[in-house]
Amino acid sequence: MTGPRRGMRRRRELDPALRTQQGMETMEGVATVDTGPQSDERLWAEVEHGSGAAFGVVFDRHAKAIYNHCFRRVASWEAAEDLMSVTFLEAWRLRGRARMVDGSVLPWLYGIATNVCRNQRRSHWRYRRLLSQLNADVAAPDHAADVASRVDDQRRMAEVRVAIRQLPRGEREVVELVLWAGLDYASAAVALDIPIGTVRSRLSRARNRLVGTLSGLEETEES
Amino acid sequence: MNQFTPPPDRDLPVHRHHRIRRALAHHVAPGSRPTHPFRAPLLAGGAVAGIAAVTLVGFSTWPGGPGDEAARPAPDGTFFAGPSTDGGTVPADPVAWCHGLLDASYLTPQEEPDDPDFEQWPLETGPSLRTPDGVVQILVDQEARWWWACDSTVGADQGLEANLYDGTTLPRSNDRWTYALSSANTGSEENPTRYVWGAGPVPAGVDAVRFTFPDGHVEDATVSDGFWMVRYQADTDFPDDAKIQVEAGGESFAAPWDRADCVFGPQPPGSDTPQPCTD
Repeated sequence: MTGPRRGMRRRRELDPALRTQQGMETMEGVATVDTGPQSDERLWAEVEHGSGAAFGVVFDRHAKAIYNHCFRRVASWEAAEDLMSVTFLEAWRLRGRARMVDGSVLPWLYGIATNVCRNQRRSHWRYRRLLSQLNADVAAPDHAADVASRVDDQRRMAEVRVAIRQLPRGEREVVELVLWAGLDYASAAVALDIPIGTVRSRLSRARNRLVGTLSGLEETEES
Repeated sequence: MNQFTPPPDRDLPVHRHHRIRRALAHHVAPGSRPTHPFRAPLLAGGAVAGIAAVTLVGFSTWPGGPGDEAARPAPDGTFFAGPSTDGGTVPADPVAWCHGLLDASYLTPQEEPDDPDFEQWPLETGPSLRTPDGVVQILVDQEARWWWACDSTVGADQGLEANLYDGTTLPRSNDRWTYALSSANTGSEENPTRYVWGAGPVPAGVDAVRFTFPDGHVEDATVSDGFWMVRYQADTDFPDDAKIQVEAGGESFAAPWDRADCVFGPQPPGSDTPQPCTD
């Protein structure tokens, strides 16, 4: 493959989605986001006034995060696509109620995604026409290797879902957001619409249960 | 890794990302049917005639003016094709070339050419602007109220640069997103320069669009068939926080120019996958 000519590249910063995702480094559970001129806060102000273009930028920026969150909820890449789409449709419908955390709309989007995944049937019904259009042309374009690895992902995730099923739903959702999605406590609190102290206590309880399970498994394997 | 460790994150497949984005944009667009001034019959005499007419409009403001023989259509109706002096390319058939970029961005090789969805996208040929340095070509999907613009001026011969401006819905309101620009680094590492281009539908009540660049250069966009188009090759690069001001319809906006309006690049030879324009 021929590489791009030196000095003729597009600006890397041109893709705000990539820029933000790459710049969104989770350090000790604290997610930081770009709050510059293209911050979510500014974009969302335009979204609230009906700007589809600004909404498209938000989609580019956060689609991957929501897609993977939905996958971890349902263990199916295909279903995750639908749920991600519904999440953004819901975000548009509810755009006047968005909450920002440190200038980012992502925690709020996680919250919508969590609700969408909880109520999949209702979510699909509301947007059934659009989803059927989106899925009408689904070919199988991926390479065999990619398909195989995605199937492996799904099998792996299904096993994880079985393992985590032992947790009460509230604790499970905190694990999904804090440990898997990398949200900090304040962001998870906004996403789940619960006090930050509840996030801490649920996570603490979940950790205790999971550690107990792991220990039990290790003992079983050793014996 | 333990039993509670999920698989690593994955990207949404690029063609799905774009398709979903498009569907969302369609969903959130205002409900009215487009009343855009551009109409297919305007160019029904053939893309070549349409392009030639529009190109003449462009000559008044672009390099390579009326006296430039290389910019004129050849007698057989085809266009000059080949590398320009600055390394850009001029496709022999800009419409087909722009369609090709679009195909590469929306369709995977496996879907071409039998994808029924593609059959349902009868894109109309929009206006274009052409100089020896490159072509800006607009395509319009009136049904979906979308439009696209392709620019061959910078990097089109590299196979990795998108040069595809992923348009938003029609009609547009008079706001800064209507005048969003795409840009690319040009020049060298020692002497970086900036190339900026953009195109889009002209909102109702707007008959002139003027851009003022960070270096003070003022460029009037060419307005044709309901679209504005602008290109500017600066002698220097712009700071990231520089503003490009646009005046249109009696209002002034800071035009976004540091965002990706291209989403995917063309499929390079030997590759099965359309390339993200962020390489």
